[in-house]
Order: sequence, then C-alpha cells, then structure tokens
Amino acid sequence: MTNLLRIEQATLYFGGLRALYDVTFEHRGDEILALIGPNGAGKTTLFNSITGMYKLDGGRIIFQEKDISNMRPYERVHLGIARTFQNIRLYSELTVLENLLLAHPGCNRETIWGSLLLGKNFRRNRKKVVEDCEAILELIGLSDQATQSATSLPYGKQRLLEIGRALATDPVLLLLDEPGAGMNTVEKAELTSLIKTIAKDRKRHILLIEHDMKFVLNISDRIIVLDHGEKIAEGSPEEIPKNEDVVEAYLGKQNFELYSGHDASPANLDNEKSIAEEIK
Amino acid sequence: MKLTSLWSTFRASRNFKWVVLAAIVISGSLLLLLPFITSNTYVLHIMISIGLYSVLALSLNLVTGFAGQLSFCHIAFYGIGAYTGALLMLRLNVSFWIAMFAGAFMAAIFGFLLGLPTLRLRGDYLAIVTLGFGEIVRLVFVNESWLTRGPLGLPGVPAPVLFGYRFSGRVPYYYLILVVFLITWFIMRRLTVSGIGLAMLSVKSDEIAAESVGIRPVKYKLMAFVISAAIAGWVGTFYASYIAFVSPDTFMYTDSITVLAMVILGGLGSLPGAVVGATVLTLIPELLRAINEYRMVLYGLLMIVMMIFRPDGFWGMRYRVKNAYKKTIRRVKDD
Ligand SMILES: Nc1ncnc2c1ncn2[C@@H]1O[C@H](COP(=O)(O)OP(=O)(O)O)[C@@H](O)[C@H]1O
Ligand SMILES: [Mg+2]
Repeated sequence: MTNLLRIEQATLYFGGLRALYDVTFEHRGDEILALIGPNGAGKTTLFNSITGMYKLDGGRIIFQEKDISNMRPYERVHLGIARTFQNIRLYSELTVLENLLLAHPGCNRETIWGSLLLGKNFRRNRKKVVEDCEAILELIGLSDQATQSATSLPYGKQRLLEIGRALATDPVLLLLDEPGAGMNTVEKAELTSLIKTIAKDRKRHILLIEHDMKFVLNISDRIIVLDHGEKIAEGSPEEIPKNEDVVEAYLGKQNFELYSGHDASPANLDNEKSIAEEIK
Repeated sequence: MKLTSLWSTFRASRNFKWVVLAAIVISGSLLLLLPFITSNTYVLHIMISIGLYSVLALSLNLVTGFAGQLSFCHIAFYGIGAYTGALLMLRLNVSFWIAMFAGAFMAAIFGFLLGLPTLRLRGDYLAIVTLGFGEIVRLVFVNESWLTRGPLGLPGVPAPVLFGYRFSGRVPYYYLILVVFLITWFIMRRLTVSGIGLAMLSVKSDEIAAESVGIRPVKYKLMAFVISAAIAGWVGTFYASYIAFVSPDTFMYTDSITVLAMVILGGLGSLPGAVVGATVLTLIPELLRAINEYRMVLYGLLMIVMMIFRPDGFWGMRYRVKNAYKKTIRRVKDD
C-alpha cells in the first residue's frame, strides 16, 4: 500500500534536548490527519522537519514514495508540500493579494526577459496567476481586503491569509500549524468548514496541529498523539479520548472532560483558553 | 504619519492622475529642453552627475532595497565597467557603444563571481566581504600597472561617435545620460513589479517564509547582484568617456557608501526614492562647498535626523503602488 507521506523513525535533538524520538506514522491521503499533544511535545518541530527547516538526526521522510529527507524547503514546496506557521509569518510591507501572488508558482517563476518584455503570453499567464489568487481570497473571505497591508488584518484573518498563501503554492499536502489559535468560537466554526472545503472540493490532503480538542475531534479523520517527542497513540476521534495514555500524558485527568468537548459551553471554552495559556 | 495620510487622500482623489501627468509633462519637457534654457556648463555637469548617481542608486536599490542585501562594493562594479570600457576603447579601438555593453558584461561576471560563494552569508558578514571585494578591485587598478597604468590612470578615453558625430561639450552627454537613466528606470520598474520583485521583497523581509512558499533565496539575491552590477558597469563606461580619464581613486569605498546612503535616505525599495536620494546627496556637497571638510559629518547628522523622523527615507516603501503586479495586466483582453 502506498501512502502520501510516511514518517519513519524520525529523531531530532536540539543539543541535549530530545525533541523527536522514533516517531513513525503515515498520512494515507484523502484524510484530515491531526497531530496533537501538550505544548512542547514536538509537533511544530515535526512540521519543520517535514518541510525541511530542520534536518532529522535519524529516520526518513517519504513523500509520494520519494525520500525527501535531504531536500531544501523550497524543493519540497515544488513537490507539493505547503505549510502555515504557528507564529504568523506574513509580509507586512506587502498587501493581502501580494502575499498570495508571491507564493503562486506562476508568479515566482517569472523570468527576467518575460518581465521586461511583457509579451502577450506572459501577460496571459500573469492574468491567470491573479485570477487564481483572487479565487483564493474569495474562498478565505478576504476579497475586500486585497489592497490592505497583510498585517493590518485582525489576527484571525491573518491566520486565514496564511492558509491562503499556502494554498497559492498549489500544494498536494497542506500542513496547518494551529490554524485556530487565537480565534473565537464563531471563527473556529468557519475555519472548520473552510478546512473541510479545502480537503473535499480542492482535493488537498491535510495534516494539522491543533490544541482545541473539540475542534480536532470534529474535523479530523484520524489523530496522532505526541508527548515528549514520542508518538504515544494513534486512532480515530472516537478512540483517542478513551485512550488511557492520552488522558494521562496529554490532558491531565481532571481536565479531560472539558477538553474532549462533550461540554463546550462558552465558560468552559474560556477556561480551556486560560489553561492553554498556563501551559505556555 | 500625517504626510502619508495626506498622500493617500491625494492619491484617491480624481485629480491625482492629472496632477501626476502634468508633473511628468512639465518636468519631462524641462529636462529635455534644459540645454536650450541654460548653456551653463556647471549646471549641465551637475545634472549629468545627478543622472549618473541616480542610475547607480537605482541599481544598488535592487540589491539593498529589494533583495535586502547590504552591499559596500557598488562602486567597484562601476569601476570595473569604467576600466573595461576605457581599455577596450584605448587599446583595441572598440566603439563606445560596444564598450558600454562590454563594461556591463564584465561587471555582471564579477557580480556573479562575488555573489556565488558569498550570498549565503548573512547581514554583517556579507557587508564585510563586499567591503573587502571593493578594496581588492581598487588595489588591482592600482597595482596591475601593465594594464591599468596604476595610480597614473588612463587618460584620453575617447568620446562616443554617433552617426559620424563625435561628442563634444556637455550637451550630448547630458542627453546620453538621460537615455541611460530612462532605460534603467524602465528595467527597474518592470523587474520590481514582477514576480521577481515580489520574490526579492519576500527574501528581504523573511527568508524562511520565502522558502516555505517555494522561493529560493540565493537565486534572487544572485539575480539582484548580477543585474545591479551590470547596470553599474554600463554607466561606468559612460563615466570613463565623459570625464575622458579613469584612475583608481575615483572608486573608493567611500563612494560606495555615498551611493548606499542615497538609497537609504531616499527610501529602500522605492525607485523615486533612489532618485530623490541621489539628487539630494549630489546637490548638498555642491551647495556647501565652503564646508566640504565637514561633508561626512553632515551625512552622519542627516542619517541620524532621518532615522528619527523618517526611518524609511524621503520616499520609502509606504508610497509604493499597491498590487502593481495586477495593474500590469489591465490591458489583457478576455479570451
Ligand atoms: N530551534 C529550537 N532550538 C532549541 N529548542 C527548540 C527549538 N525549537 C523547539 N525547541 C524545543 O523543542 C521542544 C518541542 O517544541 P515544539 O515542536 O515547538 O513543540 P509544540 O509545537 O509541540 O508545542 C520544546 O521543548 C522546545 O522548547
Ligand atoms: Mg507548536
């Protein structure tokens, strides 16, 4: 059986700190796979390894049957892996639309001669780039803000723009690092349907990191749990909340019910946020 | 702050287009007719200097203002172009017009050779390497006297000949630099609003984010370096012919710093900014000849004052045309 993405015994150290140890799992494609775990579990580090920001000390990363462990980040993007950042990294000097344009392969592969001569075919290609990006703005609901500076947007919208920018690279696999962080309940509901749309209609495979359990259980088809750099569980949204190790390691018994989202009144959500802050 | 909001109100107003058009027509015809308005050679010389430094500032702006790389050796490329052109014209009787492109080509090669190994360095390290490179180039001009006549320099660089007419006096050079300036402006304009320009800006502000959307930083830094070196070399040959003399002490690192100051004071990442910076910093020393010794002190003061009141320069990025990329396709018909 072939998988879209396979992480094989990934191990990574930061000096003496073991950030990832012997992590193995796969993304089977056509699924929304979630990666969860307490703060500092190594989730972002794993993303950075998949996208090539960090090199693994051990293990391999196989994408579409190709070992990509030693490729540069931009080469992995060309293969179809795109990501968003937990700490937003948009271009503040540029407009909302420009933040998407520069990520579009048609735009960032323009040649010197083409740009100087502005021939007919070249402009036609440019037109398609703009149309693609405007369609993405439409999808993420930012069409009216196209000429605004990217960082003048409210926080939640900046997160959406990050997703849009990753989409503009025309990815096969989309990695979302805490896409709902800092969003309110309404925004999170919209985000859920946006991610589902991207997965179904736009046929992107999705791997996401998220803190909010309710959100994760609602959106994902399968869940991987990391703790202290190790995979401690893997299973369906039905299985994971019942898993003893997960309950023990990740959530702390007393808060578990709260996190599992069976009782997600606004008061509890606030509570959840403050707990999340505390962990940080 | 206030100036920016004033600008955006003005920009949005209906009159904006007409005011800009009028300004372009008036200043354009003034520039075109200047030699008929005044035959003062000093005025023409200043205008030629402004044109020359504008071209240098515009080209350095691609490296520093767009790709975000501090370069302290821009004058070295200018010098390489000047010496290449002068030697070709003097020793091999090559025509000025061909020598100009040879100068550009040679400077581009050196830009590439310098860029290839060093552009992986960051910030301060790159600055030091470029500073060193600039000095090495100057020392080659000084020491390889079999070729360059060392400190004596190369006198008698011939004037351009166009359709049998040999350039003499300031006027033809004035028109030539005007053309060189317009070509440079055109190239910079087209490049900076393109995907290349956007990619360079992304490399300047966040390389990691740039790589994460498929942009290869080294490629764009190198591209900026080579194009910028080529233009500097090109105008270097112009200079050699205009002054009719090249010598090593024209290409000191202080001149590189002056061009860098033009770009920074004018506004990093802004084409009008580079021209404003070049104009101001060419005029100041002329107007203040009396206190020439304090020139560098004055630059320093000016820098500090600017840092406090206008950190992004006289005409910085904030005035840039929004979504200029999209505006280039307005005339494409639906098919
Ligand atoms: N660049 C780095 N250098 C050193 N330590 C790091 C670096 N990045 C992350 N870490 C450490 O690795 C561990 C995992 O971090 P991270 O992957 O960000 O966790 P998560 O995303 O699951 O919250 C943490 O202990 C963090 O402090
Ligand atoms: Mg994280």
